[in-house]
Amino acid sequence: MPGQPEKHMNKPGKNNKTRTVYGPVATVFASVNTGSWRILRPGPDHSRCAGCGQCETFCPTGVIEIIDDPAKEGGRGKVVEIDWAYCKGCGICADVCPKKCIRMVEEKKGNENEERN
Amino acid sequence: MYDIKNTAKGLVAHGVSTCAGCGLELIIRHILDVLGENTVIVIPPGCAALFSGYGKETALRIPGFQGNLENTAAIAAGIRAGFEVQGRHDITVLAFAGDGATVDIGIQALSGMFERGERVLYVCYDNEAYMNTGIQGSGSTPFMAATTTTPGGKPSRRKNMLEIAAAHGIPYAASASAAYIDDLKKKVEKAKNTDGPSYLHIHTPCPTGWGFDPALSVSLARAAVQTGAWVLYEIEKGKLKLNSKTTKLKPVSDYLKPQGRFKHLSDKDIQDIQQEIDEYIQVLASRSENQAVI
Amino acid sequence: MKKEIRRMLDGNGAATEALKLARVQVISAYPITPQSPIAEKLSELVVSHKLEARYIRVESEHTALSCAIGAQLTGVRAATATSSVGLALMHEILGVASGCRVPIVMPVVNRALVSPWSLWCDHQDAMAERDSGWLQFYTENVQEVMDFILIAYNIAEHTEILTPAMVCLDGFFLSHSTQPVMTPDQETVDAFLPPYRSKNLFLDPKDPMFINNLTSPDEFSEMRFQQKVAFERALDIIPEVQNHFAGIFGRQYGLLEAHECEDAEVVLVTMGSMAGTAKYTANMMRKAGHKVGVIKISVFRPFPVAQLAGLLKGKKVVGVIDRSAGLGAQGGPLWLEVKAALPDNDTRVFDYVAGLGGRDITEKTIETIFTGLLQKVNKKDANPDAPGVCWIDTHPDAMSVREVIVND
Repeated sequence: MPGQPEKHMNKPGKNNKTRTVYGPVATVFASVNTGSWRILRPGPDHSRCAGCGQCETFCPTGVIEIIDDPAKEGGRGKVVEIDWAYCKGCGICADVCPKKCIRMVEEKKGNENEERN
Repeated sequence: MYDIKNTAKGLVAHGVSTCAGCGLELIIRHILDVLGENTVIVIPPGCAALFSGYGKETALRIPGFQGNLENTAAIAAGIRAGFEVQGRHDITVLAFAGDGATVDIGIQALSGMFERGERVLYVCYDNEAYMNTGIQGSGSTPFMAATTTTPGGKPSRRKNMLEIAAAHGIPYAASASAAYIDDLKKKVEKAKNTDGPSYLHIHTPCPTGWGFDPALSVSLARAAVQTGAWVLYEIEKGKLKLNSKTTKLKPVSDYLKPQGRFKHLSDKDIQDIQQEIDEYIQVLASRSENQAVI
Repeated sequence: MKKEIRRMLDGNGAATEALKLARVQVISAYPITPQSPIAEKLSELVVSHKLEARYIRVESEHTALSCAIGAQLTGVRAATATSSVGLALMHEILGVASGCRVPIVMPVVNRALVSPWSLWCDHQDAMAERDSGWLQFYTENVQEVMDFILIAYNIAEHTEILTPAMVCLDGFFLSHSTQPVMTPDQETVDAFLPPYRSKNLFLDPKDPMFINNLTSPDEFSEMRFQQKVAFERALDIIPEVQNHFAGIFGRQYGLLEAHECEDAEVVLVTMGSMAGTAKYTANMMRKAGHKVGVIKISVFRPFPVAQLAGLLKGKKVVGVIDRSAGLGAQGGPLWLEVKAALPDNDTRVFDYVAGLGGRDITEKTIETIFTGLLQKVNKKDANPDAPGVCWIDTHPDAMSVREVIVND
């Protein structure tokens, strides 16, 4: 089919901030919503959490953070914060918690991305 | 270049389609935390390719290349050489491959890279079988473990890849475990600063392939070390240093029993495995120049 | 002003010199007969600082090409060279280079594939890779080895092509045959071939991208299509670059070369070093009153369909020499291309397999082919469209070259 190459050659990007490249390449840093996988979700008992960070260290998805809770222990308290968009509900956090203060509870479908106590 | 669609704390996206409880997912985050963004990664097809991404999207915020199953070390060596001739010595070149891509089909390229002394940090995440293709046995599958190609249990021993690596006389080779993150991070830092090839062989449990509750990934990796089924040690300039205990070990059944792949084992099989571990631990202890700390 | 010097070089020497003139910065090479002198000479150039490059003494051809791809993606020209089973071992990686659009230029010293083991020339190795997404150039003499490599760099790296290239030279016939070669000076080559820059995909922590990840069925065809477009564009760009080269160096090349074709009654299509013998034989036969012509295919990928069809328009009888067997096919790979390029049913195209495993394609072989083709014009064969390929230089006792003692 003559004419076909001319039609396709050397296309500029869609605007002056982009350009066309050839071949297989990924240039978008993105996540999939693995939070939708959860059957169980971690339910931390914040009052007993010592903020040791074991759950944060061993969470394979890297979605746990130990944060300061101003309302706890005169502002020196720590609590566990979980990014529900990505937590797969594997349960490692509950297993490694030395104080056993994370309990895996049933996921209520439809509420995956919401905080729940 | 990267168009950031979802933010992440580190260099790895949080929503990646590795299985729940994946040991590999756990270690890649910590490894890249240590190495930082001045790193280029080479990943072969396999579970880690889930981090390479699909189509336009990737789960890594560093430059990377997905090679073939057997040439991870070769592509990494080429990248290193390319940077070297341009005077860019500060970049870390990380080869990140599974056990199949390392101890089986990739061993030739890896051996060549070691022998030539290329400055590449090679990580083997060892989940002890070809997991991404459906749990087929590899040269790193342990004795008697059931896989989809060793359904009756693997009749032969695994390759001791760390010793093979060390036998090349590379400056730094170490084993590590997904359950000992501080130890792992220290080793990654050491490997990063090694002037020459470095090799990290990391035990990364696979709930899907080994048949256990994903919540137990870390406990099981820890049990492997506590029973001596996996030993943490380093070989630095030929000298062996133990990082995990070789005395007062727990019985290996603590490690084997929770796993579906070992459920067919008889008491005699477990005894045999125990005996083999005891013997190997003695060998390591006699070679070690120190007492283990973990 | 160009300052060429006339040097005596063999094909391997010319290939090495061309890679040096292209200022390759990373070399990963593995020795194989008859390519080994390229691997040796490059290492010597590096150790003596005549070439500022890193030499990676790899443990296989598979690694050689893998290293070259990795290195080139960081933004330098990377080089390797191979032959025969070495090229076959690279097979898997050839597709990575072409699919990721890494414009490596690789001398391929043509040698037969196993089995039987042979150290000597035929084109089976390169023909087995004709659909690997690499440009393929075939050279007739040592000067072409030098020139085609320099030209190939310019084409492969063109922003609209970005496709790796093999420059094929016949094992021993060219690789080990010493001929006078005009060797250009570095300055003139630098002007023809500017420093390498990654124009497409690259690896750089300052501007990260993830290359060669999994591609869905929604985009796979499109990426192959991009390669197809590059090959089509190459048919225009190759002559432009060749003309540009001729303007500087004074040697004019084309996608193919026609020798005495205009009034020829029969034309023989050739490729590689056999072309010289064919042209010489054609001249002899013309002196004896036979109107014969020769076409030399210089670029096999992309195949110059229109140019070939134009030259062969109206010809009644065309012969093709395939230096590979094309087992199980209707003819050898070159014959298939020629046949497909000539939709005109009036042209009969005959295939001759010759020169396998190092067998010399002699004047006698060419003369036999021309004589046969002329008979087809003049007498009209009893069975002009008879299928099958003529193995023109195969011994009549082929089926009994081994007789063994029976033990029973």
